[in-house]
Amino acid sequence: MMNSRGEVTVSLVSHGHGEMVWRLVEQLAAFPKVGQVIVTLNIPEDYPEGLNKKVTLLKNDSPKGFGQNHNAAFSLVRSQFYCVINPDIELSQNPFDTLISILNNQRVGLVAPLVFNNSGVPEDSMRRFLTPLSLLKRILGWNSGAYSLNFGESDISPDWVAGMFMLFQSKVYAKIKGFDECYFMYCEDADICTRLWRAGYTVVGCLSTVVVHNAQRASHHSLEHLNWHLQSMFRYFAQHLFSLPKRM
Amino acid sequence: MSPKKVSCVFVFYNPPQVALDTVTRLNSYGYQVVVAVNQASPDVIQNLESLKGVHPIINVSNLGLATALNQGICLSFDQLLVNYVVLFDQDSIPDTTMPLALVSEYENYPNGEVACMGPMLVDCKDLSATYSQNTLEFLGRMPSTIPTSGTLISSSVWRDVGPMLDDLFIDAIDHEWCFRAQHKGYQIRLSRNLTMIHNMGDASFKLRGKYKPIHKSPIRHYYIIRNALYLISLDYLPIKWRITELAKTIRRALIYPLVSADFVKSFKLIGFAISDGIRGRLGPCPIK
Repeated sequence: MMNSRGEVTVSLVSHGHGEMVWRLVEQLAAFPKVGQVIVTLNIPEDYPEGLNKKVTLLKNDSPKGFGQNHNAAFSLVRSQFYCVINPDIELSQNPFDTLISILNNQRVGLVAPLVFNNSGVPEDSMRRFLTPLSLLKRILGWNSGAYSLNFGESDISPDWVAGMFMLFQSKVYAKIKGFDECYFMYCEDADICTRLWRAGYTVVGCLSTVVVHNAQRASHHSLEHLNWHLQSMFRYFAQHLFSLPKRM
Repeated sequence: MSPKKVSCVFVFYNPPQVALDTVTRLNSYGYQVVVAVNQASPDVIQNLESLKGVHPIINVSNLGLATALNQGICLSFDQLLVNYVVLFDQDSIPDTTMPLALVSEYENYPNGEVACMGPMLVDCKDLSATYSQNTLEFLGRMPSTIPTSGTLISSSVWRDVGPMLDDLFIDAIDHEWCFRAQHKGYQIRLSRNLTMIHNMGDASFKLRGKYKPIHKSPIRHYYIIRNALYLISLDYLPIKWRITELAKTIRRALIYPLVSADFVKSFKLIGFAISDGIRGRLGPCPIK
């Protein structure tokens, strides 16, 4: 039972991002297809007065993980499409019209735009399934597992897309029970895409729509993040390595 | 049952201080407490946020009672993983033990028989009950609908019956949900033992020694009449209720402008309500 307030609900989580988040929220709320923007404040943070009327705020007593936060936001969703977006994304255009037109194909469970970094270079946001071999190749610098992405080319069906911007059909997100909350910080995106493929849905990368992102590769700098990254990868391998979906 | 397995869901719209006191009391007792705020002063929001263990959902605009209830209920079942929710609005003043007592009485019934159960509501203005003793004996404690405030719903029933109808916005949400549940074969029950103090209506008048609640706000008149007319068109509602409601709605449409704080606005909004109700145009009132 959907209500009449817009086609898309956007969820974003602020970890004390401040002004960056509220700027993005205003931008998102201005798009006609966006009916609701749910902002989760993962750590205590002040928010400005006079926020857009489409905003709903959730505040956590204690910090939660990526999957847990977006699943909690999803419990409030009544719209046809659900968008998960990082607070450090910048939008130079309205991405929703094109992305929704792709999701109108009922077999498509998730669509993601092309992601550029601040220098206008495509990031490796669309990749092949994670395996120990692909990981080893990546560490050795032989092959990152990413697709060759060029703006304006035809849409592709990557194995998985990065969680910085994901637009789901809400009913599909509910059907696969959202993100696996046992992951922490890493590989939730690879996991949900793998489960989508296994459930018979397609993941689409739209190369004619662009958003801008500054990736924070914290695992390269912090031992704690590296530890979380490794734990998540081992969990992913344990769950999926011997049952990766067979792609056409 | 542990109070942690029960979520008390509140909806706030410019709440009085007593509502915050009730939230604090239930939270201290150990219940999960979810408060969906449709409008409140910064002080109230700050107070809510400072209560450890309370889960606030802060809507920047008024999304309506139905949506706010759905938000609180879904968050409770999907994220807090409780077995039951008990719904309250800001005019409810429950005893601290009431939600658990309601669970205990509900669990006496066979699993899957009862959709929801509520206490007898007692109007705080004169401490009179919503149902007379004679009516209750006649109904065998099985009214066709009960008000949302004080109502207990289990997780399994919620998943089967579904959420409240968002677009009704504020009035008649309870009627529609209760009838939908009955259409699916459930019963509606009123507790034999429990009462809850509640402030009925935004004004009242005394008739034959008893206070009768009444709404003076023209906007509220719009929702009451529009939603009644819409519900009359739904085929899963009993025909007897629909005929009675039609008669009541005609009476209300004639009386409301006379008791309203603003005759002209009430009259005008009732016109819109009739048109929108018949056409099934729901959502927020188009005129502020």
